[in-house]
Amino acid sequence: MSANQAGYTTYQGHTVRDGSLWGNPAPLVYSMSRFGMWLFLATEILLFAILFTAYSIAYYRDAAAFHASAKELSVAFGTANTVILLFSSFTVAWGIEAVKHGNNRLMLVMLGITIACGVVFLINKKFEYGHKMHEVELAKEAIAPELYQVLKAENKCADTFDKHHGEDIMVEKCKVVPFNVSNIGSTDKSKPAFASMFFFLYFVMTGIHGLHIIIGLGLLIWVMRKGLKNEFHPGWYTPVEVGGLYWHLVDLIWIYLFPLLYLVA
Amino acid sequence: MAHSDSSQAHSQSHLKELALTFAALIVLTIVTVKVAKLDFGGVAINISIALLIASIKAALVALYFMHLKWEEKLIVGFAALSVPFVILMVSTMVWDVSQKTAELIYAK
Repeated sequence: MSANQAGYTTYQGHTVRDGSLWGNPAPLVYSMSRFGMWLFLATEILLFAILFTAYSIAYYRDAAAFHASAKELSVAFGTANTVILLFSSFTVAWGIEAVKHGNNRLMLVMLGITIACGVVFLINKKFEYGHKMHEVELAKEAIAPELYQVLKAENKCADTFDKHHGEDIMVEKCKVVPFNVSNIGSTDKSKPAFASMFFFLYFVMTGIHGLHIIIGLGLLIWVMRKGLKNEFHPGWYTPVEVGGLYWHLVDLIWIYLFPLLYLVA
Repeated sequence: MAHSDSSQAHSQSHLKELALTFAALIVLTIVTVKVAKLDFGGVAINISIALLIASIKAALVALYFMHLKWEEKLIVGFAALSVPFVILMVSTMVWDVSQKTAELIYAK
């Protein structure tokens, strides 16, 4: 590509895109890129709306179990991750502001901070997941009383030592199948398809959200690579803007996930 | 004209608004956590309050971080269109289940 090829221009000694595409003027291409991204984000919102619907229905069917299950989650972890995501959203918005005014270096710094925040979020999530895998093993009396009675009668519960915040404590653990296909459709509470509907939804919702974080990180790394090659200038920075929009959506979803999963106790 | 609007938006800096939005989001997060510990007389009210605060936060993110406040009308319209559909889907499903669950349990 050269500076006098259609669609390219020179900015501070670098050959860059001028923002036009296939003969269409730059302002139109910029508007339509944002429009396309927003349409895609609308479909993403509806994807999560399906999960929120599933959550609402399951909550409606057994609110008490949801309250007891949510107590197992650490509000401190959830709050920390909320603040991390909000901050990363702020840095992305700041980065877009910077590149808009031709400050490529500041944009790179902001994207770097954002990516670091995303990674910290995932590390926190990994700790939480590891911890929660244990918790799901216990079919606690508070979470599923009917199931607990059956397991107890079948001698599937035993007192075992468990590490809890570095301390050895004695807890009663029951061996339970987390998901039992043959129990699908059962209305008998002692034979649930999911040992804990709350934790099933917790893992699915935060899992799909986590997948979006990973995709978002990939996008931001791609944008950062372009930035390192000095490809952006005030006349064309669409990937930064559109990649930023995706990252904000991830934050937007978490804003709803946080109270629904961590604070319903 | 959309063109002159957007080129004008390019030259302005929204950094102050963005910083204020971030501050407001952090304050609202603290409020959500604190409010969740209080009892407003019923789980439904507590969840409604939590979702109301979440919606204010989501609106702030969409308006300022996602630039909807300065966005073209067509894009704002399509972005806003997803909200009634989400409400429609969740509310009709929950309404349906609340009507049928009792019948289902007795039928089996």
